[in-house]
Amino acid sequence: MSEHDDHSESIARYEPSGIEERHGIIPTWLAIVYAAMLVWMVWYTIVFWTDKG
Amino acid sequence: MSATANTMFDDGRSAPAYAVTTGELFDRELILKYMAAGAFWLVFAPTVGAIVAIKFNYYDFLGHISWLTWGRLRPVHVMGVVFGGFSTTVIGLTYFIVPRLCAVPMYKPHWGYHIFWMWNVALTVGFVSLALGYNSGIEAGEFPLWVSIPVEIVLCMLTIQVVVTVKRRTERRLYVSLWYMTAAYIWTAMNYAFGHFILPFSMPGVNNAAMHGLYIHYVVGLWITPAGLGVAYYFLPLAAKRPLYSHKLSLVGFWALAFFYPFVGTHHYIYSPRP
Repeated sequence: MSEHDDHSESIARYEPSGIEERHGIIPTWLAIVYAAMLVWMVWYTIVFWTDKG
Repeated sequence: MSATANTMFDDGRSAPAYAVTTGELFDRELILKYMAAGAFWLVFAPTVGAIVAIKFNYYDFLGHISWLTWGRLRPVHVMGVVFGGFSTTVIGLTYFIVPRLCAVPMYKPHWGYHIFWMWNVALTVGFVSLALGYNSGIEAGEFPLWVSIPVEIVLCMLTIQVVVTVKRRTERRLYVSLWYMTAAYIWTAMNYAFGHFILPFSMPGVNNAAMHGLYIHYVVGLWITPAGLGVAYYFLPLAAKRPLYSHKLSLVGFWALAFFYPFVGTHHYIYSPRP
C-alpha cells in the first residue's frame, strides 16, 4: 500500500502567517528506526541503569 | 508592520486579505528592541570568546588584570552566547511568531517591555559579576543568585505569556513551531531553576556532577535546540515559498527530541569518578 493518500497530500494554511503545510507521512523506514531505538532505550536502561544488568 | 500582500507561494496563490492586516497582532517596536539587544550580545559574547581563544596561544595576553583572566572571561563568553546572543534574539522572535501562529495578540503584551529591561539589566549585572569572580561554579549555570532570581522570574513570565496565548488561540491547528517554542519555555523555566537553585546548594559531590550533565545538556537540547527549531520551522516554509513537507513528520521530530534527548548529558563525565 502506498504511504501517500489523499489525506497525506492535504494542505493546511495558517492564515495570519501565510504558512502552509502538507499533512504528510512518516516514512516506513523512519518508523522502523524509531521502533528499534525505543527497544534499544529500554534494553540500555535495564542493563546499565538497574541492578538487573 | 504589515505582512506582504504579494504572492506568497510560487504556484500563483496569493496571501489572504487577513495576512496583510495582522499588524496589530505583534508589537514591531518591542521586537526591534529585542533584535537590537540580541545583535549587541551577538557581537559582545563571541568577541569575549575570541579574547579567551587568544589566551591559549599568548598566555600573558591580558593576564595581569584579574577580571580579564581566562577563568573569569570564559563563563562570560559561554553565558553570553547562550543567554545573551541566542536567548535575547529568540525571545524577540517569540513576540513575532507566537501571535502570528495563534492569530491572537500575545497575552499581557506590556510584559514584553518589563521583560526586556529585566532581562538585559540582569544579563549585564551577571557578566560584570562573573568578571568580578562571583560564580556559582555550575558550567553554563554560572550566574550568581542575585542574577538568577530575576532571570528565573523572566523565564516564568515568558512561559505564562506563551502558554496562555497558545491556549487562547483562534487558529484551530497547532503549528510545529508552537510545539517547540512552548515546550522550550516550559522546559527551560524548570531547568534554569534546577541548575541555579538546586545544583549549587543541595547536591554535593559526584551526584552533583551527574546531575550537572543533565542540566548542561538540557540547556542545549531543551532550550537552544527546540527554540531554534521553532524559529526555523516558522521561517523556512515562508522563505522557500513552499508548504512544509509533512506535519506528521515534524511532530515525530518534536517527540523524538523530548524522549531521546534528555539523557545524553552524561557523556560529559566519561572516564570521570562518576559511576
